[in-house]
Amino acid sequence: MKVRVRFAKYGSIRYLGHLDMMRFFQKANRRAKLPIAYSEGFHPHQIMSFASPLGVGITSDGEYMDLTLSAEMSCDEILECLQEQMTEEVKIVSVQRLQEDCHKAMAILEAASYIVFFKDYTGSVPLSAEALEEEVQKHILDAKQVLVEKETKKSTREVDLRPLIYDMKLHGGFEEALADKILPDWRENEFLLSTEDPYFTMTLCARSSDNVKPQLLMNYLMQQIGVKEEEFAIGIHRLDMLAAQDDKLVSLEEFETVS
Amino acid sequence: MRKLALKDNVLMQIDKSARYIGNEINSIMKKAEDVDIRYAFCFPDVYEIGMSHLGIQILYEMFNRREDVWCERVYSPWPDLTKIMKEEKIPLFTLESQDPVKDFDFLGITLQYEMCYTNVLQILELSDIPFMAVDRREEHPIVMGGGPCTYNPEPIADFFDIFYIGEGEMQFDAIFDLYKEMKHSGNYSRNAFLHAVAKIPGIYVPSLYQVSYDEKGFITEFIPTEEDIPAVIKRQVDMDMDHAPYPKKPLIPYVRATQDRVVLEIMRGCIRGCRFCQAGMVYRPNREKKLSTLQEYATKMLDNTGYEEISLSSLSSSDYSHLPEFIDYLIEECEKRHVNISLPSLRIDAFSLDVMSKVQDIKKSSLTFAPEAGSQRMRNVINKGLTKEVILNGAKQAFVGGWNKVKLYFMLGLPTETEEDIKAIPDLAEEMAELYYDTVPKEQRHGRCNINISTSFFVPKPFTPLQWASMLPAKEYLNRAGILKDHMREELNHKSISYQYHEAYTTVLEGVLARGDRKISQVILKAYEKGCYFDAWTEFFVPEKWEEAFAECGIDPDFYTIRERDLKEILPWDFIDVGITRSFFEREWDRAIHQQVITPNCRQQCSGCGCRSFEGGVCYEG
Repeated sequence: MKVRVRFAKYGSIRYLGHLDMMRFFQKANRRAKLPIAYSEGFHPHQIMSFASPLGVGITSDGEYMDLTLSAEMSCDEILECLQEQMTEEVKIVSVQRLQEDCHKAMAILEAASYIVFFKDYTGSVPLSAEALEEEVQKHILDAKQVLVEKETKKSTREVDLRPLIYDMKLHGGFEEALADKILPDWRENEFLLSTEDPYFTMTLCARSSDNVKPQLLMNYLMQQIGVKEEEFAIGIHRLDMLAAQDDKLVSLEEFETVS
Repeated sequence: MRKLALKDNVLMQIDKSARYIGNEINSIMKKAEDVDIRYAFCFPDVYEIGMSHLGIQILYEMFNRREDVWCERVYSPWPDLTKIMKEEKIPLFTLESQDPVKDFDFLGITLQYEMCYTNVLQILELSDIPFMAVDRREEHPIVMGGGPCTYNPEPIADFFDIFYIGEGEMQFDAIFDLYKEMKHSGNYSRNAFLHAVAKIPGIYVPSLYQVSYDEKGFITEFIPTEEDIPAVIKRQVDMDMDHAPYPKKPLIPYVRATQDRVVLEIMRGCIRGCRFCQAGMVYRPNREKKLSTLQEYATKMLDNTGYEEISLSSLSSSDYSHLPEFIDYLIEECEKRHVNISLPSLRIDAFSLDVMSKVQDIKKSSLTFAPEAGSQRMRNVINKGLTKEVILNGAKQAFVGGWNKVKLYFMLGLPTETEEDIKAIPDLAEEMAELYYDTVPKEQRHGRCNINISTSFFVPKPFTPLQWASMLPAKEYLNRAGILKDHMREELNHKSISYQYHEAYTTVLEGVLARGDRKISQVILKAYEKGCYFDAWTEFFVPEKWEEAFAECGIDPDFYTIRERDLKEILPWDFIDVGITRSFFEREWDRAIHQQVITPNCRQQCSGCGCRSFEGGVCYEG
């Protein structure tokens, strides 16, 4: 059977890179004694795949790992066994059974939604919600094109981000309970996460060919409003990953799953 | 969440920040206020290396079993972080509590190789602890050293308050009890504790010993400064391997460590008696764990970690009495679990080839032989009782079995080595290559065979029969590597043979640090002040700075390396009693250099090294 595991990553575990996170789960799956299916050969590996890597320093509520099991096990039991093997900063959110003919999460991933906030800001342009709202409207939402230089391994090319931005909103002040949950160290680090500080939510294309990183978009926006790159640092929290279904975006948690 | 010592902006600008966050699976958290003793255990190298070390994991488990002790870990911050910590004055911290090391009761540093000595100074500096033991005050942690390098602790004696000589399993309870008792009764002062702890067997407090030298630099006297301090320090040995503490729930690093697998120590010691090998001497007598103990540990450790590989650890796994039964058990258990088995240090013979063909992909793996010397005469000198016939027979069986990649390990610069001995190395590789083409029919070959020669330069170590031997100048080492290379190119099948050798100056420096005396401390400090650290890493090692440090201290490194030492000379490490008699080492030196004959291994015949006095292990088998 195939299952999709949704997990969340908070606090200090955000410093683990994608490969380390994969290795963490490979060991956890074994400790949890899940009946994982293995590849053939002298060095068998677990049949598992991640929807999309998460950069170092980013927290998340919507990470996905697809597993193939060689025996039946209830989703509740899988969740329970796996959760027992996590550190307190990794939460198993849900386990869903997948249709047998489902696609790889990686292949159907269409978009990802994020919270973007300021870790640090030293610029002179005021960072008030009202002022920013206008700028977002003008430079992003109403703009015909959002042209940025995108660096690839070989060269830089100009890309229009506008069609890849599905949604972008500005919010007046951060919720303290949320800040405490995802980044309990926000006060020590003086991140701008108080009830006064504005932040963004955004849904950006995450197809492997057209993945838009929030940093790229934020660099563009801040440049438009006259803030230099060394004057701000952003923090990112991934909310969820989404697939396209009947012209709508739905969470991977609900896509091709068996209810 | 956990409080981290490093701020987000620091963690986001350094490489592999997960090295510094702690909280790994199976790490042990306690409350500082609930314990009497806080022990910071340090491996003075980068996290991935330090986390691969079994010794710390054993003692971490053992210390933390005590309710009154919290043992935490600390490793060398990588140069990127070191720079930031110095600039921003961030004190070095342990991984578990993230608290500054300077607030601990003890800082224990394991000394596994000489090239880490400058990293010890890095640890002290970042912890804000004075380099010299003599400058430390009541508020500073007691700085302890342990591990193989303490069989000659003299070059670093000035930096340590205490050395522990031998296996940690034995005396730590006594040390902790003493410390706690003195603290509680109000009798504690740094000096009073050092004086009292020096009476515990195996404990060496360098400040309580006086060394005198003659005008040429030779040691004339090495004596305790006070009457009640022992003149000789006895190595501590744990004779009960089946009940010794062992980490059945080892720590699992987030960052991929060098040893990314379950490591199971199957025995301690070695029966072979190779004359260059310090481990083969100072871990005597050979002590095996029971088969049932190993079976239990293997399953528990795999259950508790989820590792996908298990590796056996010992100096010579082929000599473990129940190896076939244990391997059968492992193969069956690991197949069920889809776990790989890695088997280093197996002698190549019919049995090991059969086992390896079951556990690895022959086409991808290579076989390793360690003849250590090319000619039989040279192998007799070092007591490597391996003959050419045995090596070639092993290779032949391997070729028939489908292997075509072979690694051969040798040493250059061994005592009495001649040009003939050097040339015998590529000659052996050539014979092996010819054997491949004679044995494996053309249609069954997957291209050429691949014989890889690798040489290191010999460094005489304390407490080995070759401890008196002379070394060579760096240039001469390179010359000898050149002879080998030139001769290899003349071989018929030279296209099937490749050659790699280690750096020469590192060898010379390792030689000085291995057999130096207390005068070397100032050179290490000077080199560190010039910016030397991570010397074990080729990319950071700067020989010129070390040369300058020797010159500025007025110390001639050749004094420690080039001359052959006289049997009458007082060696810097003579005050340590490892349990092997001086007369055994002298006999073995004579059999090496003059008679050039093999000494039988411990199972063939006892050579009377003195370790029977430990009353167990191989000396009492059967």
